Amino acid sequence: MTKIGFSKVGLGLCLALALSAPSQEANAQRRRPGKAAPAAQSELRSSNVAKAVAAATALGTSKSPKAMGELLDGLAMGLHPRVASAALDAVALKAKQNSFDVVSFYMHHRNAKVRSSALRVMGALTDKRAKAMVLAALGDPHKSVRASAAEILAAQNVKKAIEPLMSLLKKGDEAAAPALASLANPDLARAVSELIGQAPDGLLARCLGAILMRPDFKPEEARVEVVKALGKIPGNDSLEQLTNYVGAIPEKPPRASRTEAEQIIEARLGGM
Amino acid sequence: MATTHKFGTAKHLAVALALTLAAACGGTGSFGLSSGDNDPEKLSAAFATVQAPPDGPINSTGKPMVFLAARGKPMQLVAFDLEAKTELWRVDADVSSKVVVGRDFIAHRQGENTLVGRDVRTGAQLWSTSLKGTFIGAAADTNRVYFTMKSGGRSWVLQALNGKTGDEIWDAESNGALGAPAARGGLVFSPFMKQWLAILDAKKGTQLTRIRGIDEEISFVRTTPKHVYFGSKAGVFLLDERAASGKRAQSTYGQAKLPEDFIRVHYHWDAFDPVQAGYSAYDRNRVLWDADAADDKLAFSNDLVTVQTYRFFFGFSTTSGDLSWAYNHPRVDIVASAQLGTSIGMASMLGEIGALDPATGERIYEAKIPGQFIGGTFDAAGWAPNERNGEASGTAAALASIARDRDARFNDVKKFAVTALSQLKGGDVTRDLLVLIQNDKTPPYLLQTAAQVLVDRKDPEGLPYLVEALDVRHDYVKGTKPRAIGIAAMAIGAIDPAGIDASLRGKAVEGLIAHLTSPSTAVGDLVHLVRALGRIGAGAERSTLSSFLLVYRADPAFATQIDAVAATIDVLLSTGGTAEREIVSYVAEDPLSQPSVAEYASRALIQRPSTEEADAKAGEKADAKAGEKAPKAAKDASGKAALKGKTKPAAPKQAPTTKK
Repeated sequence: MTKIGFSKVGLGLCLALALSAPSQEANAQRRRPGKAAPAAQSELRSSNVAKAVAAATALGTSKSPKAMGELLDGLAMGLHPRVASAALDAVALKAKQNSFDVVSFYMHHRNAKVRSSALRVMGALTDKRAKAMVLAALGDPHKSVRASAAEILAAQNVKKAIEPLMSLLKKGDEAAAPALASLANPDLARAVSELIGQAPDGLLARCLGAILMRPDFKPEEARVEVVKALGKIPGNDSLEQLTNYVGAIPEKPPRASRTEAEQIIEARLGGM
Repeated sequence: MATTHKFGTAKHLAVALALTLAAACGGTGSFGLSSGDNDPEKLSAAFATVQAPPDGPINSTGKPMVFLAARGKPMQLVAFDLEAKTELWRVDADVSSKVVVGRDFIAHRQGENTLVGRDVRTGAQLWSTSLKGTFIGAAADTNRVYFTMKSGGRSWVLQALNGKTGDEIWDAESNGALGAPAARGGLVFSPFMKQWLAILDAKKGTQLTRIRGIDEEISFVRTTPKHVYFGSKAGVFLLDERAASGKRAQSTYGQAKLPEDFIRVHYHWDAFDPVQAGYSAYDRNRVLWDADAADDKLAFSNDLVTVQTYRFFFGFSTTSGDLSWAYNHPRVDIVASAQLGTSIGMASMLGEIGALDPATGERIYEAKIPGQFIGGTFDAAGWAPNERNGEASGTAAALASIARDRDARFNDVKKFAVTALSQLKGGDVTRDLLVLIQNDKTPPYLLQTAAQVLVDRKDPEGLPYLVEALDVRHDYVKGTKPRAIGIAAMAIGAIDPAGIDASLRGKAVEGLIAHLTSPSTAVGDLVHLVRALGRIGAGAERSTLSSFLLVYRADPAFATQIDAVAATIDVLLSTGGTAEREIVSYVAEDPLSQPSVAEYASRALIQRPSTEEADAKAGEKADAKAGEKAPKAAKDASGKAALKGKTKPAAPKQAPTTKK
């Protein structure tokens, strides 16, 4: 049987994988002596999945310049999905630009957990291609991946995400509510309010409720509008959001939005 | 005053055997069992009495007309002028048989036991007569109505009435089964015991002669302004002087070659089946044809017959059986149809009246009449509408629409349509098949047929549509979902790469790669994507396939479903170079690879030795032969070299980029 060295395969890999080889800098770093995690290096490719996962995690926290190379090489050569996920999480901690090519293949991995981990790496990169991939991940078939993408996009305040997130909200995707709430300005809050009847009531109520709870969501008139919109949403979810809002805002100084919310609650409960 | 002829004295014979014995004993008259058969002279004499009927409609208005029986309480009978597109009259009438048309009258059974005559111009009832027996069928010529009844256990009667007055003119009794008659030019034709065609004088009811079918039974007789035909499900005889032989070979005889998939061949209504005397499902499953004599054979017009199956019409070449055209009538069944010579008249159950060009299937006439209909009779011989709008949908489109039809009754027809599509040329067919395959409501058996047909086409002209199918990607936000990706990939893989345009090939490879790497692609489709890439990739696929192999070789999800990974290994070894072989070797050796994948890779490497390995092996054999004479030292050296070549793959051309 043919025996070949790992380094030769590394070449074949890099030729074939469309995973461009780690950058020269990365290679140089790998060749430089430094604090490595020798056990982790050897065990990343262990056939014992638990050990390999632990090794990947250790490489993620390792300060050794070789750690990143080890992780990328491992990913390039193929790992058990659980190990790959851990390795990607480790790469995300380091957020090196040279990881894009290797990680991009994992953005389409058949295992949703692996894709979510790859997404976290992409979210940490400044590369435009990486940002586009995160945005595209809102269309992923698995809700956990969509949720990861929504979270990243909201955290990075990516306005391009608003339109697809609105579509997700209409489709009842839970991840869209907090993300939109995080991105919302008065105009967006109004647009969300207009989805009454188009998006599921509970989800819409949670989205508007989350907007209200943002201390930076201003001005007061906009808050009142959101409260009124919540008042138009049938069901207990909207009532719960209004109650939460009233409970979270101090009575003084008085706020028109709080008063409006109280009136709606009273009217709703009085009518019961 | 009516004349009664009583022929045959075996009234009490209850079984056919006894009847046959009676035949041997002789008998006279219209339906005697031992009268002279197949007499050319008598047949010629009978023909000599024929007065040629009008070429066009028989009715005295001269207008091409259709008489339609309308559902309802009460039922109605409607006369429609096809040329003027005008309803001429509508009367309440419990129509329970096909309408027969004479010059000034029409006639039909009404209810269970009455035969009525009506004024052809107004629909007003002219006469009625009670029927004392089972109605078998009726016919009319210019002046008379003829009808057959089964009047007792083994007693049948053919009766002639004056069409305008209903007065009885004659009757002819029989102890053997009589079929529904036909009439033309002063002669009446009556199938007798499925073996004879009796030819009677229409004025007197006396038998002039008769034909005995020697090679096949006689279950129908049909008249047109030009000819009289008779025959069975097996074929059609023209009633000419050659028919006196009673044999196919010596007669003007023809059969249409038709596919057997779904067609129940009925060249005409079965004269002995009382059900077919009325409007029934038999009217919706028919072969429509016109024919003439040519070189002592019966030649169907334009070498075509039209097969109607409910809403669908197909034109078939009668000599090859190939499909010539197809027509799909939208939504509702056609309940009345007729070959009128230059057109095929048809009427739907919703009162849509139309005509098709029998040569092309193009719709050449449209009209509408209110009501719901159960059947109808055309009196429109030679009617030739020509309302072509130049928007003929084409056979491929018609077949595709038939295949996509949601009516669950027509599975055989749909399957035939799909198979027929495969024989048509052009990329549009690929498009139509794809639409069918991508439709969620296509039943599995049809999907399977359509997929097989699509793959078997190997049609480069269809590649743009296949690429288009691959362009649809899964996107939860946009709500897009690719369909039938595996089938599209199989179809692409079946096309000869040499016939594919380079830019289109690039797009196809791009689409195949996108779906191979998409998490939404079904595992079962992956193998087809890999194989298609291997077939048309021309090298552009190698890096993706290498990635795919390396990333999933360690994935337990592929441990038991290794088809896709195995296909990747095959493609890399068969189309790749040294680098790809190294990757497969690595997969075979690395402990992280799933055992099933590693084992497959190992076997594949043995089965597909590299060029160097193959050369070395060949060298070994040559050396072994030469070594028998060569010095021992030289033999050892060549053996080591060969062994080295066998156990070590060629060094990569580039230096490794990762170091261990």
